[in-house]
Amino acid sequence: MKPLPPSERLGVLVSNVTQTMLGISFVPVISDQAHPGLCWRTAVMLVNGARPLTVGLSSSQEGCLALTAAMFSCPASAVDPSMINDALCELVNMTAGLLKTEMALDQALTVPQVVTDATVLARLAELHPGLVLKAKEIGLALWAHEGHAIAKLTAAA
Amino acid sequence: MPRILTVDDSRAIRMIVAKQLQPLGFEIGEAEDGNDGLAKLQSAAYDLVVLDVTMPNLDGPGMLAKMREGGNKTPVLMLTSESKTAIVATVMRLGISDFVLKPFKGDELKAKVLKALKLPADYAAPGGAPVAAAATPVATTAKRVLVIDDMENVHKKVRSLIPAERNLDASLNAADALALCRSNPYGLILIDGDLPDTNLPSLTKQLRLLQPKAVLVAMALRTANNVTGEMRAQGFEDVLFKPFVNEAVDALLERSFQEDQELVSAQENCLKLAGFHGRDDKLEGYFQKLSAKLKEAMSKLAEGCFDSAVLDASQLPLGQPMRAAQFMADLSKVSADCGVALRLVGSAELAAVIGGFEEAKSLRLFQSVEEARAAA
Repeated sequence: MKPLPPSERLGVLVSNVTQTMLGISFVPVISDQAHPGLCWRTAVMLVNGARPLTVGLSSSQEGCLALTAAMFSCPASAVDPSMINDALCELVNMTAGLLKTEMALDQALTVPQVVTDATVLARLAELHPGLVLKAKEIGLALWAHEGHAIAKLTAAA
Repeated sequence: MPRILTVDDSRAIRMIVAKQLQPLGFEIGEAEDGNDGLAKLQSAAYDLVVLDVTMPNLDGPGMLAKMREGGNKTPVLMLTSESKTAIVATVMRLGISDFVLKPFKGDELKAKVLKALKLPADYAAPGGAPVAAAATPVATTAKRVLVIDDMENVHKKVRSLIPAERNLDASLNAADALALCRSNPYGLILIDGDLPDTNLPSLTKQLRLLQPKAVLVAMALRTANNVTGEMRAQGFEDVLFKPFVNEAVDALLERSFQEDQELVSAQENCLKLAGFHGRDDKLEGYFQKLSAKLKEAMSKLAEGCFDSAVLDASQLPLGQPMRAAQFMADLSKVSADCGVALRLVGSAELAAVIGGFEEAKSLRLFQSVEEARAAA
């Protein structure tokens, strides 16, 4: 088993997913922080097993609309909230799958959940700073860390 | 018209699957979890199920198990991000046709669906244009060699030992190798038996899913005891010992690309010779095998009462002109012995090669198969 990959590599994994599925490539912006505006919605995947892992993807409202429209091949005006949740969950699902392979973790994926509670996300950002990724006007925050801190935060909220 | 059921909790994925397959004329049904999928299968017959693994209520392996328990043998193509060994082993035991790992490209999905349905790679919707050959690289591109080793010198060494015409990709780690395997077909995959930070049994299982026809070979040192046994236990078919020797590499290539080496292909009375992609010292062996195969093919034509045949020799190697001419002279004799008149297809260079040989002068040469056929 390997440690969590460095930021650059995490950025490549996310971009592998978005480039393959949406034709959009992201690059990490190490100097930036996952500010609340970038966390309008977050899809979280818990990877259970001997080495619990959390993988999350957040974006702003505009970013979520753009990603979802690309995923469904439809105009942004046709996107509804359930489509946004669906697209974000699927992107985090694929990202977690690639990360698991990268880390040689033989553990099972779970069904992703959507978190919109700003307090929970702010607390999570304090504990585990997210990695900011950019593709032109679209921003993404990637959360990848050991443990299931977000599950406890969500339960406490 | 084939009917396909896509079972995935993601509406986006169901939509993408439908969007890729509907243009082929397939009818697409959708289900959002395993329970919904089983209900759809009870209400209608499908030719293929495209099934996710991780879903709420009833997951993919659960649905597959219930299908098989109930006697439903519909082929299943898994489309998932999940690669956990135990889950993969379960679905393989229950019987799946193939695996597509997410993220996936539309062309990869189409190619695997067509394969699962036993349809040709250029299958077209009734009345529609064939699927563009270029859009299905998995099905149409020549197979390659992949080397996975954290030492670049190993990549270079392997490259120096395989023919230049054989495409080779190299990766330093498992993740990059898996990414390559999602988009390229491989006949031979060489993996460092001591690849750092890698669970080799897990990697070989994933490679096996992505490249079911590839020969997986571990590269290992000779020094340890029972290396071959240990590597076979980890999912490898064979071991290539470091430092490499030419003969061992040649043997692996021959084994891995055997199906590419159909030296003479026949369609009615039209024969086509395969080209040569080996090192120079293997050329004599190629000509000998080719002669034997052609003799068999000509005998079959005679048995089938064909008194003439077209032989497409445009791929014949002409780097050793005397050997090529000798081959043609022998061929002319076989043709006469069998009573089958040969019309040869080849380049002006081939014409020059055989022009100097009295024994081969009876062979008529044409520039294209169509011309040769028309001359019958």
